[in-house]
This record gives sequence, C-alpha cells and structure tokens, in this order.
Amino acid sequence: MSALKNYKYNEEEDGELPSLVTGSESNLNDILKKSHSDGGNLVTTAKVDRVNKQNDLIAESLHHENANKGKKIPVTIITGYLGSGKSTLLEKIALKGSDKKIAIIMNEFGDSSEIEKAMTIRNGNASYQEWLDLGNGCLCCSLKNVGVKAIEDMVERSPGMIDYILLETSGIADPAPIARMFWQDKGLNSSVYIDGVITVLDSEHVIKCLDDISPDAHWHGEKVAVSQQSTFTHHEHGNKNNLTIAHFQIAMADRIILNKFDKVHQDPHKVKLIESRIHNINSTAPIYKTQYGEVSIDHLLDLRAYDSFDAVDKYLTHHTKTLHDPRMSTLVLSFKQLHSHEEFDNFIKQFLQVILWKNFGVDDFKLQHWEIQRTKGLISYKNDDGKTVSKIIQGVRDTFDIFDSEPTTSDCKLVLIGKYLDQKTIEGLLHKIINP
Amino acid sequence: MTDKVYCAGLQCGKETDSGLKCPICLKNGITQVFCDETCYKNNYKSHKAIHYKSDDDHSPYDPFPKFKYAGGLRPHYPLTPKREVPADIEKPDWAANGLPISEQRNDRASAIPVYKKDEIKKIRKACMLGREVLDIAAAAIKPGITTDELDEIVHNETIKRNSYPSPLNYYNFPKSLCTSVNETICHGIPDKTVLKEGDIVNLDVSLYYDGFHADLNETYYVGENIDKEVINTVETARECLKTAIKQCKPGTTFQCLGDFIEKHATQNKTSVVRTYCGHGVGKFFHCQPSIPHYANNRTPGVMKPGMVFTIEPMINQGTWKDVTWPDDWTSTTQDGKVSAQFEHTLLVTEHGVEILTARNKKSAGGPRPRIK
Repeated sequence: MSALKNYKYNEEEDGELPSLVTGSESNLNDILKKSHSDGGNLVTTAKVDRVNKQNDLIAESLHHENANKGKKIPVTIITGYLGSGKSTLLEKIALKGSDKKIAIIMNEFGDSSEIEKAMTIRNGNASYQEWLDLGNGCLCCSLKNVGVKAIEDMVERSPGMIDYILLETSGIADPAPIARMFWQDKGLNSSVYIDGVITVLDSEHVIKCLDDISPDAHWHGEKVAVSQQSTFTHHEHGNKNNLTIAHFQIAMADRIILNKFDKVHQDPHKVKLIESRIHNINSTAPIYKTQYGEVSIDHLLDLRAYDSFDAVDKYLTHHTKTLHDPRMSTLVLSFKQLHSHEEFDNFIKQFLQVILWKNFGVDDFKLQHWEIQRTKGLISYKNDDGKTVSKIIQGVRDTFDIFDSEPTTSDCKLVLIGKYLDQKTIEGLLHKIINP
Repeated sequence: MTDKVYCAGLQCGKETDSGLKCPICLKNGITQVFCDETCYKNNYKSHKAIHYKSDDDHSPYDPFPKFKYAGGLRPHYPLTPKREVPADIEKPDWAANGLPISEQRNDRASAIPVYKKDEIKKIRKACMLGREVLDIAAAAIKPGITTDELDEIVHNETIKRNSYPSPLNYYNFPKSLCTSVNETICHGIPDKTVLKEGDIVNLDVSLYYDGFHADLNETYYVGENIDKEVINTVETARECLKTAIKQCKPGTTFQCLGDFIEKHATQNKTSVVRTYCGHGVGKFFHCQPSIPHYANNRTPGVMKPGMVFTIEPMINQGTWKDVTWPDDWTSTTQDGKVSAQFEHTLLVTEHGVEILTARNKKSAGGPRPRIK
C-alpha cells in the first residue's frame, strides 16, 4: 500500500511547537500573545533545491529538443525469498560492476511506509546516498507510479552519476506489477527502462517452498501462499490450486540464480527435479547454479529482456509433459509465418487481445481461470508487396506492446507464462484465427 | 446536543472529545481542535498552511519563495481551514485520514468494472449533481474572485446535495475542488489567488453520492480580453475531448483515443500532456481503465456496455512537459505557457456512448470563436 506524505513538525524549520490550549486557561491572553504566526516553511529547502535542479535540467533539454536526449538507464529487478541470497548477489554485482556507477534500491519498493527514501549509489567500494522524493504518495489519474517517478526524477537530477539501477524487491513481492511499472511506453519518455528480472532461489529449499501451498504457508515469518480467486469454483481440489509467491517469482524471471548450489550438487536426482520444476514453470529463463551468488555479471545485466526476443529463443527449453503442472507453466505456440497484414491484425485483435484482456472488456473467456504473467513472441507475416515483416511482442499481464524486428523467415513463436493455462483452448482459438 | 468534533489533523480526522486547540489559530479567531499533542505534531506541516506569515502581516504570501516558477502564477497562502462535511453525508474512506484504502486494494485486482442497471442509475444521478455544482461555480467566475471562493461555492453546493466533494482529503488534498489557472495543467489548490481579466481557469469537480463518484471539468475564460493563442489552446482542448468521445462505442480500444486526440492537438499547433490520464470512475474515484491522451500508448482494454470512465485531455500551448510545485499537487507546464482541459464522465451503451456529465442550455462557459 502506498503511504501518505510526511507532515510531521520539524523543529529546525518550524521553530518551537506551541502547546495546544483549551481556550479556558486563566492566562489565555498571555499564552496567545506568545503564540506567533509561522506560515511558510511548508517544505524543506533541500526539497525546493531538488525540484529546481530537476526543472532546470528539463528546461535545458527543451532547448535542444531534437538533440540527443540523455541515455536511458537500465533497471534490473532482483527478486527471491528472504534468505535466498538476494542481498549477497546484489553486493557481488555492485562490486564486479565497478566500471559502472550502480544505484541500489533496497527492499519493499512500491510497498513502502516511508514516503522519503534514500538510495545508495555504488561505484566499486565507494558509495553515497541520494534522496528519492515520493511526492504526496498519489499520482492520481497519472500513468506513473510514485516510486518510478521518484527514481526517474533522481536519475534526471544526476546526469552522468548513475549507469545502472538494481532494485531489490521484498521477499514476498510478486515482481509482475513492479516490472510493469518500469516497462513504460515511449510516450512517457522515461529516463529509465526495465532490463530484466532476476530471481534468486535457494537450492536447498526451493522445492519445499513451491510445494508448501497451505493457505497459511510462511517463509521466515512472511505469508507466501497465494490463494486462488473466489471466482474459482472447483473447490474439490482444495488447496492444491494454491500457488506460492515463488511460482510468480519464477514465472517472471528472465534469469534464474539457483543459489547455495553446494547444498544439493551431490544429489543428481534432486538437481534434476529442481531443474524440471523450474523449467515447467518458466521454460525461457536460463538457470545459473551458484554458490554465494558467484556468477558473471554478463549473464545478468544488459539483457534487454523487454524489447528483444533473441534471448527467449536461445534459451527456450521444452519441458516434459509428464511433469506438467497447470498451476503455473509455460506454453509455447509455434506456427508458420502469417500470410498477410490482415491475418496479423486478426492475430492481435482476435487472439492476443482475447486471451490477455479478459478482465478488460473482452469476455469470451471470462470464466476461464487463466492469468498470463508474461508474453514474449516473434511473429512474421508477408506484407502486401510480398516482403516479410517481423514483429516482437512483449507483455506483462494484460499490457502488451508490438515492436519492429529484423525480418526473419523462421516460424512464428509465442511464449505464454501464466497460471492455469489451458493449452487446448488457447491452441484451439489460435487455429481458428490463423490459416494453415 | 453539541456538534460532533473531529480532529483537524488531515491524517487523523477522528471524532474527538478533546478541547485542545491550536493557539495560533485561536488568536486569529479560528478554532482547530486536535486529539492531542501527537496529532498536532504529526500533521503540523499541513496544518500551518492556514497560518499567516507573521502576526503583523496578514497579506497573502508565497510559501515557496525559493522555487523557480515556470510562469507568472504564484500560490497565495494561507489556505482557508478544511471545510466541514456534515456527519450524515456518506463519505469515502479517505475522508478522515486521507488514505483511499478500498481504491488501493482494488488497484491490485486490475479489471475494468462493468456496471449493472441499478448502479448506472446511481452514477447517472451523481453525474447530474456534479454538472449542477460545476455550472453554479462556473457562473461565479469573474475578474476579482479568488479560487478559494470558488472552492467554497463548490463545497457548499456539493454538501447541499447530500454529496461528499471527492477531492477533499484524497491523499490529503486540502480542498474540495481543483482550480487550475493559466499554466496550471491540473490539481491546482484553491487559495487566495485572485482571477483577473484574460486568465483561464479550469474547475475540476468530483463528488460522491449514494456510493458512486462523478468526475467532470471545464476550462473557463475570465473576462473578455483573451489572447488568441490562449483561445486556440482552450478550444483545441474542447474539440479534442469531443473528437475522442465520438470514437466511443463497444469494441473501441482505449488505446486508440490518444491517437485521435494527439492528431487534433498537433493540427492546431498544441501539445498533449502525457503524465496524467483519464480513468475508470464510479464505485471508485479512480480505477481501471487508464486512458492516456497521447498517441501510440499501449493501455489495455476495449469498451463494452456498462463501463464508465473519464476522458480528460490536457492540451498545452507550448511544450507537453509538466513540472510539479513543491506542494506536490499543482502541475504546471514546463515553459509557463497555458494549458487547458475538459473532462466528461462517459458510459458505454449498447450502440455508442452517453455523456453522463453533459452540458445543458443553461451551463455557463462554452466555446468562443478563434481569433485569426
């Protein structure tokens, strides 16, 4: 829940706080005589300075509107349960990426009770703090989340001071809403972009975490079970339909760190089981087996996971049907190049919108329980002049976008990661839309 | 029986039997009761916005003198104390302490509400009342009136209709109306700013009646001598809303509205604000869908009968870029040139759309011809 602005009295700015009066004090007149009007100082000088600095920089950019805008700063989201080694990994990346000035935003982002937050900027071993100004806690009728806006503001105020942002979520966070906040369309002209989501798992406990779906499941004192929505009517399965936060964290991952691997590496059976459980949920994220978060940062940073398809294709693994767990899984649809722009249009309007927007006005599948967390695709079609056009599709939950890609003649591929994906229904719909 | 007393702390608002008052206010003839010293302390920064600058200077002052304003507009403090809403009027959950809990919870469900007949009836009623309130306030606009006086009219007319003014204390917004003058894009706080000949002012009225919110706004000319560029901006904004409404019917994507709005704005040499958007309204003040007004956005959703939302394009004479005052509310253009906005609450019907907050023959304001 987002919080309210801090209106607390501050002695330095507000002077001595007068004592409240009942109004019937015998010496009321004396008291009132000593109470002086103190309007002004509603915000700190530091805050006004921050706003001024930022506005100056915006003004400057207006003068060369067409000139090269400051480069956008990548944001990598790091997620995983408490104790999985998230913080250690963060520390390792900050040290290894010492050629980069890395800003680290810790914990509970987007769920903060503090309205003003500091963040640390690291350059190897050197570090300093910057303030994030979260405004009034509300950007009503605004497209930007307050936290994202605060980070953008900070980046804009500090040109050249930050090369990369690592954002560590709380252990119990579903990374999808956070990823979506940072995944903004071009029109919003953000100074940051989401590069990818890294999920850190504790090898020793991951299976147990995925299996513990009792409604009151906890991990280090935090509730991790995600119960099925009330719309789900098939109660005969009981808790078996529940999911854990770990399912969501794995589903959203672009990279998976199987940490504390030393604890399991001598048990090949368990290793295989862990790998297939993860692959079943997310077949597109490569898994790195690590100890103390030791992994090359080349595997983790600068992925461009939200505007390309290369990585997806490269790592796409095919899970075995035997292990198929419908609660959270990857569905890969492969089909031949589409015949025309019109067919592509139908694919978007009559297939993609239909499966992604069931709560957004398209209710052909309103009663289906599926919920797609992540969509990635590469779709090609023949243009009117016979040339091949290829488009990348990226999506988080109900929001998706289509980007141009280098034309490729390979088959179309659409990857859906989500819960209760009904392969038959989804494939059936697709084949109604596209011609063989 | 004495009237119930509520703590003046914007983040408390609880009923209290405390008789403890702010001495500075009392000295100036204003009664502001707080539960205790803690409530006083925790809300002091918002409370002191109603204090004079000093004992012997009661003239309006700029609370952010070091701030580099984009244009000529300045805030004029102190604000007037929070206006009261009678106890028997149904209130949204933020009325007391500022936090819209149910709205925040709903946000996570992330679906566009589709209203049933009886709900639509209530939304329609709320929208009708909203139109009445806006028209009464708009009729009072003239050179010399302050934005706070407009707030007082809106507040009183709203509670007279057994409604709660939705902006009041929403995330601690201090007033019952948003008044956005000249370069202000939106969310201007009513204060002692005096409107003068040649200004434009947007009044954004939202009210909560019988469990449902209505939301509408219009930009009005103050006096007769308006700069031709300003008229162009205001009229373009009015037309942008009209153009977007024309597209609304079952099956239209929310995404495409921005394409039409931006096209019309560009044709008239104006720009579209990107930070703020239209939104679902009804059971909640703000909910899905989000409706950006700029082209090529990727907002999800298609219209279907029973959906209720606002379209509220903000159109700027110069740059589309916005900056925010240190009050964290007032959003102005970055270059200080004017911004205009129009908003309706809309209902998607079987075959098209119904403007629930439509103007009528008696509505104040209205278009003026552009000057060549």
